[in-house]
Amino acid sequence: MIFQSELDLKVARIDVLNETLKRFHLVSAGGEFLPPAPPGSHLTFLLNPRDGEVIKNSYSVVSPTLIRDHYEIVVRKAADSRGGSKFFHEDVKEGNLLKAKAPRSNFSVHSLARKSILIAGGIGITPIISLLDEIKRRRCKVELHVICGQSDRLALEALLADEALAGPNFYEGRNNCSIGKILAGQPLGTHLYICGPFNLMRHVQEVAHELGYPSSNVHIESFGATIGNAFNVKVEGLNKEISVGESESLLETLEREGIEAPFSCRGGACGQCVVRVVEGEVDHRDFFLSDEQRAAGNCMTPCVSRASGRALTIAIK
Amino acid sequence: MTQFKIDETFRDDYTFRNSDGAILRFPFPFEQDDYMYSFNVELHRKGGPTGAYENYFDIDEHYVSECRERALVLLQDPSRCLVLDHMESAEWDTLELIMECLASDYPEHFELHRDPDSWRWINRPLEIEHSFIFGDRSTLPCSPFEYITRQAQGDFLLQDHRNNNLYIDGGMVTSQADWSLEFDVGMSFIEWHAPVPLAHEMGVFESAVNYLMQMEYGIPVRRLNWTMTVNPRLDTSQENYPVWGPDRRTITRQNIGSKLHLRVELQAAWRLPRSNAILFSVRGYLASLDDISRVPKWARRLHRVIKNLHPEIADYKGISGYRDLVTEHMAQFDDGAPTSPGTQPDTKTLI
Amino acid sequence: MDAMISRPRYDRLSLGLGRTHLLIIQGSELPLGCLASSVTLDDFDEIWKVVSCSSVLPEPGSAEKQFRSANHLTIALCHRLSSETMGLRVYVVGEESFVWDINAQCRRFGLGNDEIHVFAPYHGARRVRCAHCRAYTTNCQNTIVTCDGCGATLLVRDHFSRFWNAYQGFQIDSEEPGVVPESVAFRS
Repeated sequence: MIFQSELDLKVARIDVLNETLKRFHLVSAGGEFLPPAPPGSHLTFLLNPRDGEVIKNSYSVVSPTLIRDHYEIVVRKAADSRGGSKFFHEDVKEGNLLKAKAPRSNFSVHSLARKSILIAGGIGITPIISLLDEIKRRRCKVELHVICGQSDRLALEALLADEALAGPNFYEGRNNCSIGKILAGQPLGTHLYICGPFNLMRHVQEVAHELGYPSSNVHIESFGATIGNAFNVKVEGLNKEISVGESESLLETLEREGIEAPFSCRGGACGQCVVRVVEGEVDHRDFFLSDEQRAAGNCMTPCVSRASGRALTIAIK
Repeated sequence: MTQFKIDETFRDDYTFRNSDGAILRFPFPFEQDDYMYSFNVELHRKGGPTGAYENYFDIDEHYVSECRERALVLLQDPSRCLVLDHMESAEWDTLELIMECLASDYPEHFELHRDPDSWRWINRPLEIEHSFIFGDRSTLPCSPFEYITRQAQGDFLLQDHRNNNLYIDGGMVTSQADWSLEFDVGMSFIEWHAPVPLAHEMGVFESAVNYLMQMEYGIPVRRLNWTMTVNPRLDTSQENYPVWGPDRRTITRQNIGSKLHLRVELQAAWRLPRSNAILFSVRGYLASLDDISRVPKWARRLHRVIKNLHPEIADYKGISGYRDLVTEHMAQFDDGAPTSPGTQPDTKTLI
Repeated sequence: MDAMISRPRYDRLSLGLGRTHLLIIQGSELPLGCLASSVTLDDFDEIWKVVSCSSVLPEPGSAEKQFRSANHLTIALCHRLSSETMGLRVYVVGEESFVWDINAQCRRFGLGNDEIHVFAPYHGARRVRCAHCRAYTTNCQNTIVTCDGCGATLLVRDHFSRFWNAYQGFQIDSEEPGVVPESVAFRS
């Protein structure tokens, strides 16, 4: 169903693409259809590599967006793994169950693009694959440029094999690829989608800017699902200090900790969840509080707003 | 299982009537005894103060008749369904969403069978059975958006999300409260709402557009809106204002109870997955003043709301001409007793 | 009548980042007050003008081209846009219906919000689309007009559609025939 926020997934198959890349086929543990995976989307997994430890890792869904009976993800074993990719590569076996949040995307296809240019750096190809699928369904002109290390080329080419794309352009290493050449002389209405290392994305943005691409035509996927900084919160009246992680809201943290908090829209619009701020600076991200209320600094909407610093003390009505 | 009234009319002889059950499930819009614009949004989850909130897309006893009325409007004015070319992906998203919800919420009326290559859709109340290929519009008799919204109650709008803004780039609008999709198509969300008084100064639409843009799919939201309509007429479009406008002058002390209707829109907003567009479903409900009067709490509250309504809002909603008559008529049901907070009827039987 | 938020407001033209800046003027001269103080005509790479004269020729290769009419210019512009590349910026000065016409053509070829800028120094007369019969009535000077299509007495609202390039008119005496408010001239 479409309205599931947490998914129980079963590993149906694992393909070894090369020494560092594996592809996982995931089906719903209950056998029902999965929510559609939007183009460019990722799944955030809640992993238990060891008892008592929970880590969150996000991986792009590379299967076509129309498919509802399974997801495919590709995981690269990172040298400096926090544990997530190591866990996937060494511990996850066919038949295992995994918990994940429903897929979310930071990319979307611009509906008025007359041509799309996709640029991927290395494993940054993964969110680009489902984006490409959606763009092709829209019968929009498209070019794909992939910059990668020599050792990954075969595996990444294999990932794209199903796409039957006329000539994806591969470049082995940044020095063999001129972004200026790719971007110059493109027709009006060209949109760029870039995913890869920060420096590559920055470079493409700069070149595009110089050539006169408006910023609304340049779309960047920053990897991961971070919402903001992590911070600690004391709740007045409760003898408890709770930690809000980078990828969760204060409201979610309160709920996780079993602290009752009112809410309605969960998007910073309705004001139902407003709490009193006793101490600490707030990074206000809502649409509800007035400028005066923000300036006074004694209330906040925990569904979207966060601490500017490292700590807050709040009181719930 | 819903028993459909299959031959109601919403024009000419106006045979539309609510059963007792339909009155009790009406989504009465007033939370308290006065009304002002606000950003009254909540998550659109199953369940709420009345039966109208039980499912994602509500199907009630008027379903078959409302679909027939929609078909009639489209015969007279095909541009009431209008979708710009770049919204095709959103059209398929809409079809998938509505079919999936109807089939799972009303299995006795609707079935969706998904084989890898082709989908089979069964709509028993409208006697439709059709196989098609998802994504291939040549396998449907009309565009995917038109196809599915001809089989759903209420109006539907598609908002494209691009350039950090929302644009009304499509819709099926045959039962609107005095506006024109055809004229407004392509406008930004703020331009589209330009004719609404007061709310712009309050910043309501700016908040709304920012809120909607951060919506995630799988987490729809809803709000209520309301107006009043003379006769149970669904097509109070701006296009046909010269046709229904004169009705506003026909309200008298004698006929107001049966002729004047409170019209409520249960508006839900849905992020669509592949297109990243936002779908608005605007599900309209009509209840005559006589219907409302059978629920004591609602009758008291309606009297107080109309009596104290801001004159600019009354003007915009087209109520000013007969507002005093409404207040006078509803006063007989208001004994001054306090009303409980919230919109639930507080009764299981009608008087 | 209060101004509605859909009615266009125009900012004096200033130059954004771009590879080529094309200025289009409806008329032989640029009216005063169209450019931001930091901008001069020399800042534009090309200037195209509608001069309303049957014998002018747009000279190839020249930075300033003259056209006989708005249609004459639009045909050349569409031809140009069909082979243009990213980095073009288009600026348009003229009557309201002219600038939104050019705007619509540019959008057809993929230009977006940041790539086209319009300025209508005089927008007193309005093009009106009837909500009922959908006919256009042009050059409307007052708030009450008779529809060219169905003959209805229309109130011209401040509600403007960039898609149709028109203001909206609706029959003001629908509820009570003949009851029509006083007609007021549009302020420019």
